[in-house]
This record gives sequence, C-alpha cells and structure tokens, in this order.
Amino acid sequence: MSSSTTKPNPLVKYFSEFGVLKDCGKNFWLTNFIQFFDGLSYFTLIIVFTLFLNKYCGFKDADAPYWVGMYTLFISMFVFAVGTICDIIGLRRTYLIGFILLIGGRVILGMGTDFGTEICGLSQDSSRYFVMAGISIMSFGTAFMSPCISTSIRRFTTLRSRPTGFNFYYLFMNIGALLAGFAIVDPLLAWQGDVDGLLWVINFGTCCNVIAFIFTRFIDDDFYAVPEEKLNRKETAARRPLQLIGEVAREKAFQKLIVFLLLTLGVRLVFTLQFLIMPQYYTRTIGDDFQLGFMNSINPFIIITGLILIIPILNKFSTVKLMISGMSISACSLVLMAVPPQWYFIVPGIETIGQAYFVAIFLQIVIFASGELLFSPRFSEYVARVAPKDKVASYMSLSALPMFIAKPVNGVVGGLLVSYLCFDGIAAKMDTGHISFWQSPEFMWTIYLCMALISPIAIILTKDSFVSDHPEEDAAKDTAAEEAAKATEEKTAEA
Amino acid sequence: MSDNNDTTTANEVPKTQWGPILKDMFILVCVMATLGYLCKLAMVPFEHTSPTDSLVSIIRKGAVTNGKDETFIKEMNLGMSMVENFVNYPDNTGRTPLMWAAYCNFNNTQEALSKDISRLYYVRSLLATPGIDAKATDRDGFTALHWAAWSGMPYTAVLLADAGLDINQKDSNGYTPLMLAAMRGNEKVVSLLLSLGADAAAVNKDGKTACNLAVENEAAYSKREAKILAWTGIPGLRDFNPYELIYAPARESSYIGTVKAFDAAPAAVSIDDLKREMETAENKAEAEAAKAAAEGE
Repeated sequence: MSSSTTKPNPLVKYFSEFGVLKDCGKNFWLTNFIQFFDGLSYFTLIIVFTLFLNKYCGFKDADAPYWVGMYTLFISMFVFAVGTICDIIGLRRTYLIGFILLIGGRVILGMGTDFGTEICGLSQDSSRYFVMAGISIMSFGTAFMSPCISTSIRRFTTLRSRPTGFNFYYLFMNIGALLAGFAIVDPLLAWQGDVDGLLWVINFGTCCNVIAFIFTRFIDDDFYAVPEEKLNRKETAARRPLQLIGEVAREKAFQKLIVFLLLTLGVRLVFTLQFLIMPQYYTRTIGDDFQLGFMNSINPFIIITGLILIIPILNKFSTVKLMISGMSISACSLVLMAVPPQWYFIVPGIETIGQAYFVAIFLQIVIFASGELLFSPRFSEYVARVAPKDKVASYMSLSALPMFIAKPVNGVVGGLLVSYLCFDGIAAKMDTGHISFWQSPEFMWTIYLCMALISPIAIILTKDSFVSDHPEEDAAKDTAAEEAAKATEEKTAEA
Repeated sequence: MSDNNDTTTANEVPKTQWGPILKDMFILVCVMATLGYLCKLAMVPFEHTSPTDSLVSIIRKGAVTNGKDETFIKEMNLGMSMVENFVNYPDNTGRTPLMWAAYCNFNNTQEALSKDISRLYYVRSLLATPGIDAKATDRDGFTALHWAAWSGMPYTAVLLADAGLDINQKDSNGYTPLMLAAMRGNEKVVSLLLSLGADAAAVNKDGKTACNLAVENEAAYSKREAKILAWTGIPGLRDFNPYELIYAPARESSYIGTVKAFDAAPAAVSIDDLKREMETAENKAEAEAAKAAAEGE
C-alpha cells in the first residue's frame, strides 16, 4: 500500500504539527508556563468559588452565585478595558501590574473573612466586604492575563508557527483545567475537609500565581519573532476601549451579529452554570464529600480528546449546522437533570436517589461537553467570518457585549433558584418525600432547559434572516449596499 | 545598530493619550457597577434573609480553637441583644440554628463523625443558651434530632436526647428519627435510639418501619457485585463501577450494622458507651489541634 493512501493516525497528525514550535524561542515556552500556572490557579478557583463564598465566607445561597457572576462580568469588562494597554505599556509591565492585582486580590479573598472577624473584630457580615474587595481586585488582575498572554503568544511566534502556537496554548490551557479538578481540588478537599479544604484550594491558586509571576520576570520585553511587527505598534497604540463600539455600531453586519449573539444567549448562559450553580447542586444532592473536581475534569477531558480526534473531521461540515447541533445537544443535556430522579429507577443498577443523581450528572456533563465541542469553536469562527476583514478583532471583542448583561442577571437568577429549589438539606427532605417537583432542583433545571432550548429553536427559525452559511458574502453585500446608500445620499445632498 | 533601530521605533510610536483611555475605562467601570447594583436591587424582594444567617454560617464553617469560637460567641451576643428570641429564629425552611448545627451531608460515615465532633461545641453552646427551644420543628416537622439522625451525628443525638427531645416524634410524613437514621444506615444513631427505647414498630405514611427502610436502602446502596456480574457477565467489574465515586465502604458496613442492630437485644451501643466515646474523640481532636498549633508555632 502506498503511503498516500494510508490514513494518518489523527493523534500522530495532531502532535506532529507541534514540530513547528521548535522555531519558537524561550519566550514562547515561558509564556506557556505562565499560562499553565495562571490557568491552574483560575480553574481551581472557579470550581470551588461558589462553595468557598458560601461555606467559608458565609455568603448566602443567593449571594454566592451573584458574586461569582459579578466576578466573571468584571473580568469580561476589564478585559475589554485593558485589552489594548498591553501593547502600550509593554508585556513585562502589564504582567507586573496584572499579577500584583491578582495575587493581592487573592490574598484578600483568602484572608478577608478571618482577618475581618478575628483581627479587626468585625461581625461576619461586615468582614464580607473584604472578600468583595478581594473579588473586585482579583478580577481586574485576571483581566490583564488573557490579552497579555495572547499578545505574548502572537509576539513570540513566527507567522509559520503562530496557528500551531495558539493550538498548543489552547491545549495547554485545557490540560490545566483537567488537572485542576481531579489532581488538585479533590485531594485538597479530601485532605483538609469540605470547608477548610476550600481555603487551601484558593491558597494553592495564589501560589500558582506567584510561580507564574516569577516566570514573567524572565520574559524579554523587546523580543519580536517577526521584527516587522514591532514597527506596527503605532496602529494599536492610540486605541480607546469605547472607540471600537463607535466604529462598528452602525454597521448592518454588526447589528445582525448582535441579534445572533442574543439568540445564542440562552445556551451560552448554561455554559456558565458549570461554576455558578453546579457545585452547590452536586454537593447538596449527593453529599459534601462528592468528588467535585473529578466531575469538573470530564469537560476539559472531552474537549482535549475532541481537539485531537474529532475537530479535524468536523471541519467539512457546515458551520451553522454544527452550531445548531452543538447548541441543541448542550441544551437537551439538561433534560437529564430536569426529570425526577425516581425515573432513573427503571434502569437496572440505579436504586437510590443518590445513584440517580450521580448518573444524571455524569451523563449531562458528557453530553453537554460534546455539544460544547461542536458549538464553541464554530461560534468563534462564525463571529470572525461575519466581520469585515479589517475589523475581525473589533467584532471578536464586542461579541462579548451581550454576555455583559447576561452574566450578572444569570448570577442573580441562579442564586435565587438555588436558595429556593436546591437549599442545603434538600437531600433529607427528598428522602422523606417532602419535596414536590415544583420545589425540587429538577424544576430549576426545567427552567434552565426552557431557556437553553430557546437558542437552537430561535436560530433555526431565523436562519434566513440573521444567520447564514456564507456570512462573509452577506457581510460584503451589506457593506456594499451601505456604501451605495451613502453615495446616493451624498449625491442627493450635492444636488 | 539595534540601538538605532529601537530609537527609530520609539520615535515612530506616537505619545499615548492616556486621558481618553482612562475616561473610557472609568465609563465601563461605572456601567458595570450600575449593572451589578441594579441586579442586586432586583434580587432583594425575592431573597431569603434571616437574622441568624451569619450565626449559621459560623456554625457550618466550624472554627473552634482552644475549646471555643470567639466569632460565634460575639455573633450570638450581638444577635441576642438585637433580635428577640434570636436563638430560636427560623430561616425560610423553618430551621433554627440548633437544627443547622445538627446537620451535615456526607456519603462517608467517618466524615460525618468528624463533623459531629467539630460541631459539639456549637450544639452544647446553643443548648445552654437561655430561652432555647430545643424541641422546635421546621416546616416539615423535623426536629434537631431528625436532622442529627439523618446526618449520622450520634454524639449530637446524645446531647439532644439528653436535652429532652422526643425520640419518637414524627414529621409530617410520619418519619421518626429512628427511621431517618435507619434509611441512611447510620448504625450508631440507630443503636443509640434503640437503646433509649425508640419505637421500632412505628410506621411512616407508606406503612414502612425503620427496619424495612434499613433493609431496603442497604440493598440499594451496596454495590452488589453478584448482581452486576449477572447483569453484565463481566467478572471484576465491581472495581470499575462508576458508583465508586459516590460509594463509601464505611457506609456500606454501617448499613449492614444497622440492619443487624434491629435484631440485637439489648442494643449494641448504649448512651453511656457513646458518651465515653464522645469524650475520647473530643480529647483526641483537642490534642491533635494543640499539636498542630505547636508545630505551626
């Protein structure tokens, strides 16, 4: 058999692409180590954040998801604000500011409650303000990381190695997310207990940030893998954060994109539930010693496997079809948690409510992650394709706008739903038949299921108006039509 | 040469206009703060709040050092001075701080026992508070003893029984503390309640006794290798059973012990045995804490 007819092993093919990274110097690898430790710190935090605020800091059921929602909102908003600063003040200085804020914020977050109550003699309620301050400062620091690391990867890779450099960065980030769950969160919680263990997880993250910070000190600020790019800095130097909105708000392609983003909001909000609500749902229905980290490792495991084995195969399918399929799969996965656990008793081997919840959660995570695997890469690709070629970066940044509004709303709704329908102690009441469907976590998931299903249905219904299989052509047509209209207006004015 | 290049580049990069950038950032921060505040305001009418929320969070956190928790004492004094009947104030589910102190949710019975030991200080303090209504029930008729029985906290159950709680009190669905302990396989609590004379013949609204519930749940909880083998035909699958993640061998043996406890006469564990055990466990925990503190210093 000739070599041309032999199908290459996807695993070998995927990793052989990384060969090109040998072109990249020490700065690229340092950036990946920074990203790895920063990612480890972020993912360990996000897995336990709601529980930490609730159990360790004494935030109420409704407040904990609200503050996690606010934290993610702060990050998105600050990323938007500081995105261009990196190019202006330089990498090392941006890393310095970012890590000082991040480490400082984390220290305040970790020590805030105890410092307030034990050292300042404040009440439990008042000491929470320290924690809130810690969250705000930490989010500002976290916001520096993402643009800074992306800029570093771009700067330290050649044009040839750049796409692979970003693939490697994405893979490394997911490996961090995978390890954060089963290798760090679970052992720390098992060792230090369900409450003190949470503080240990936060402190572990702070140590990771310190390590990442040390790595940043070895980065060469003046190095550019493509020296010509150094000369192009003046284009980015003068950019204002809100300038972007003014530039594109009136464009028809952008308006269509915003409608599209609003339509997908339902399912994208469900993505955030993984850390807003799920930790409380898991521990309250199954037990405080449930292996939370392991469950959170399933998602990155599927993403990593998918990146290597499935995504290359999926490239031949239509973007819109894949997005709709992905959204539908992710949304429908919630059905598993929306049905009463007793329904699972028809399956051989499932005989207790705990076992039913476990199976429901496990299957939901697997199915949801599979849907996400189809949806997320296509979603970013679609946003990039809708944008006029010279405005891809602006469109990509602004695509986060609808989520700004959605994040705090989701935090509030999630918190309230948890406090009503998944309160601590609900397992005892379910065991004794005191909880009807309308008072149960299943009702909470039914609400989210309805919200999530709106997205694929809306996309299918509006497929011809707002979504297209050929967004580039549509965008070009819209731009041409706008220019023609402008020219006609000018002519009329002249006449 | 490279110095020259750098100078040239530096000359080409225009001076950064920080004013507009900072102005935009300020606008964004204001928008974000307003958005967050509005969301919080919208949440207020639907939020459950109770004056005892902070006290409960302190109990759940459990930070006893040198035999006491200063934060708890302070919060308790503050609450008592500000709210009438503070110590019995129920939350939205009707639970009082004492019920919260008697609750934990662990698969592993050993973890529940550790939690039980760490909560003893709070249970004792609450029971010693003037005006405490230890017999209060929540909206479904659970007493603190129901919660301790379900949670697998035998030492707390001892203190509550000593405080005079009715060991045969039924909730609104007819569940007694013995039934809750039996259905969860909490062997020590079952033995304690039986030794105190709990009514093993009482039935819940479904007509089940505590023993029925123990047998049923023991069968459901245990991994039952034989059944898995018969079902799949694959030997050794027990080790790959996904339930491993929610399975605790300690609970399985506790379930087996629970079922046996109903046949044992007299009860395997008496209240005096448990009191002695509790004392030993507390002393051990204190010694470990002192050792850890000394090592820290």
